[in-house]
Amino acid sequence: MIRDITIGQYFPGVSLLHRLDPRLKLALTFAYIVAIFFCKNFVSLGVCVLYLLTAVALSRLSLKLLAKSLKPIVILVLLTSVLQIFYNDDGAVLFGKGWYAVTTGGVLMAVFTTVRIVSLVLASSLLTYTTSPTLLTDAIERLFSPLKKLHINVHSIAMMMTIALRFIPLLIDEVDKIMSAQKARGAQLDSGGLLKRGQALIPVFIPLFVNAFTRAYDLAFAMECRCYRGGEGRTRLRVMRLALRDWLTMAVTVLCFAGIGVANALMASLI
Amino acid sequence: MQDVILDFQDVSYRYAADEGETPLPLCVRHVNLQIERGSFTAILGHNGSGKSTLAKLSNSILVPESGRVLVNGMDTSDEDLAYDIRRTVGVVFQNPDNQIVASIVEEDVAFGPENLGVAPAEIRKRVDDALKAVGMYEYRGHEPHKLSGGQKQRVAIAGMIAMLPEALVLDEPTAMLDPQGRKEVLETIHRLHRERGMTVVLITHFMEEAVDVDRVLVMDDGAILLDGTPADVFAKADLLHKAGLELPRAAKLAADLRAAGAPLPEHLLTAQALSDALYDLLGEKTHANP
Amino acid sequence: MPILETRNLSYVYGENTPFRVQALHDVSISIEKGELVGIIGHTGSGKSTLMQHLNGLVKPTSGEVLLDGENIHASKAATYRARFRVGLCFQYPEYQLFESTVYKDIAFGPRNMGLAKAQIDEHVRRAASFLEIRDAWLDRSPFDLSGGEKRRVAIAGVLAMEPEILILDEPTAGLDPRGRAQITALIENYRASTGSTVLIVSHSMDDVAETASRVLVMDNGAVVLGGTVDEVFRDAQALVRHGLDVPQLTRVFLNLRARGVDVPTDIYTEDQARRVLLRLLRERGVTA
Repeated sequence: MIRDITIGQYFPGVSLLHRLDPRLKLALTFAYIVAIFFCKNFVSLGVCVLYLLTAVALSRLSLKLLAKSLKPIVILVLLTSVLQIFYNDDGAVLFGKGWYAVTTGGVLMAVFTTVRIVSLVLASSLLTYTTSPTLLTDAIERLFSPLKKLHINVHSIAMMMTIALRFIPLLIDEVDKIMSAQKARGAQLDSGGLLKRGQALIPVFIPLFVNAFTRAYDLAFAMECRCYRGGEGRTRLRVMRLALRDWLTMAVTVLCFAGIGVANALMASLI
Repeated sequence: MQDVILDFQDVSYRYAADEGETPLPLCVRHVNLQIERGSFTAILGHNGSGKSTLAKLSNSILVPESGRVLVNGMDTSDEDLAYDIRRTVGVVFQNPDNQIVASIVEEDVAFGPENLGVAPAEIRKRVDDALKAVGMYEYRGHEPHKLSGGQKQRVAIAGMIAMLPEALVLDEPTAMLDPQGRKEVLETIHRLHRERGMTVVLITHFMEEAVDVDRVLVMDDGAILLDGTPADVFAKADLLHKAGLELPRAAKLAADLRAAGAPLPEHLLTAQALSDALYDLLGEKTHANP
Repeated sequence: MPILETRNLSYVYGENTPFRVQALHDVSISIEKGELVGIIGHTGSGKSTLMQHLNGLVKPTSGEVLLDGENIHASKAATYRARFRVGLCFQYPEYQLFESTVYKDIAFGPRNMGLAKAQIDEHVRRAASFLEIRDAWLDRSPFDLSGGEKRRVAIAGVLAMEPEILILDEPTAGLDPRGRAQITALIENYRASTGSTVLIVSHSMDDVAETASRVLVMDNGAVVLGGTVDEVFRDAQALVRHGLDVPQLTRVFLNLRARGVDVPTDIYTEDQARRVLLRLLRERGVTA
């Protein structure tokens, strides 16, 4: 059923990773993604993987859960691996010949890419699994607030995210209700070709949009009644302050990333 | 002189018509209304009687076409005063889902004080206090969409309380709730009035909600049709019927019995009052000849 | 033979997860043709889940739904037919209006039934007249109507399938007294003039006390009380136990009884109440 879709996919907990400052977690995830792309060899990639595995261990999330987050990218991983294997003809030929020759270079490249993609996805899953959507939104607003100078209204974007987070579960329920109601009038929503199915969704989407606009209108009034006037002069209930654990995490990370640089340079000089 | 917090002086209002269409009729007509500080007023009327528009006129969400609305003497048409007015008169609407902004209860309650620029420690205090006042403190970390209708509406009320308003105007706050939720919300509103001296204006079409208040107003066709104590207003069954309202069933039964010659006192509005009065007539006789 | 029957209906969702909920427990009900039955229960009592089983929208985990003695899940075609034979009108049905005109919206159901154009027209006009929808509205956009008018159009949209059984979930929710009285009268009139079977789902006894011939009370996914309205009202304490409010009028009599006055307590209509009390007052010599 449509209700099974989970948004934000936050799994509450009290692990070190859960308790890290969300701004730091957000920044680290970005930095990590960049670092992954700077890895030029297996040694530096190894450092990255080690870093990620430590984070996984600290999150106390079940491995099964994390494995699930990789499900959507299985095809992508397989596809890139196959491409790497066939297009790369460095190194010794393992088997096959001509255009379908499988070489050691190809296999290594495939493994390298796979590890990269998997790390990328795991890192972002770790972020969303251990940070509540509200905290994440809050962190985005605070972390990107310097962008105000570039006339980007970070507060508005964060507010939109907040409202989206609040209303998505509501709208999902509503889709469910409207679908049931239209099915009760004989609408066939799940059969027929693509075009027919698309047409069949009109009775679902029109009421959904009409109701969403009503909600938006009501909400705008309600926000005005609560003296909302944008980000200017606004204070926050939550105070974010970096704790000792945040500073330590930062230090460890800097060391790790330095390690990547060293590994890259070292391997390059060896060749 | 009375201490008036909300003062409608000859207020009229009409909604704007679409471009090129004929103008819509007035939906509020020359309303004069003074709400006394600390009072509990119920405004009754059928849908489209203009009662909900009054709510939006009371905190400068809408501004009168003619006449003026004063909140603690502040004119709602003065844009510079809009925020002072809105923190003085809190308005709660019908659909609780459409007035909750954040996906965590306490963060939603904090929304108003945050907008007012209150310091974080003070926001914390106000949020906790407001949630306790509506009996939702234990739910402060919950997600609103997992709460019942009555609980959500109480969170919406807490969101207003946290702005420390002097008056609450509630626009059909129970219309979408089940009996349990309705009971919760009404108890909360009455408690706020009783224990905190909150001025309350309750707009509703449930007559039962207007029996235990200080003053009842009945709106019809944008104007005030009746104004008085519940007993005075409920005695005018014919006018109420004309305004699309029906007496609470116990009050109607009492009126019917009186009309049929039963020596019942006037102004019996609730089941409790009616059964007490009937007991006085029937009970002693039962004991006299067992 | 009952027109609609459920046998040991159970429904579980979230099986094999920590969120497993048994929404229905072994529900067996039987509805006779032409009855107006009230299904009463507080929010979460399972009444809405039951309702969605009756037209085949939800398939039971175990047990069966029989329409005219035939299992509605016997075949895919039978399930689909059940949608039209058992018209289901959800709470706040006006939120499902979508067509550009009132006429087209009411015609949605009949069109899905595969009726010919002339027949569709007949169905639409009949349904519109039952709900006192004026001809002039039929070409207007449903979104331009008032709340109460939209509600009537939405109910007409279900009626237009001319179902043998009409199920309405809280048909008067959110309406003002005038709107509530109107919808109640229109539904009663429809039932009386067509002889259709009507089920009204509600969380308040007051909503159905005056019109229903029979009441089923649900709590915790099961039917816990059932019978004529009189029978169910006789035990007002049981209603309270199942999370329901006792109607105001019944409360007057319960209070009197509690203080030792010998009055019946299965009173729920204004008519009954007035008659009983006036007789009592006369007997006791209070009035002439």
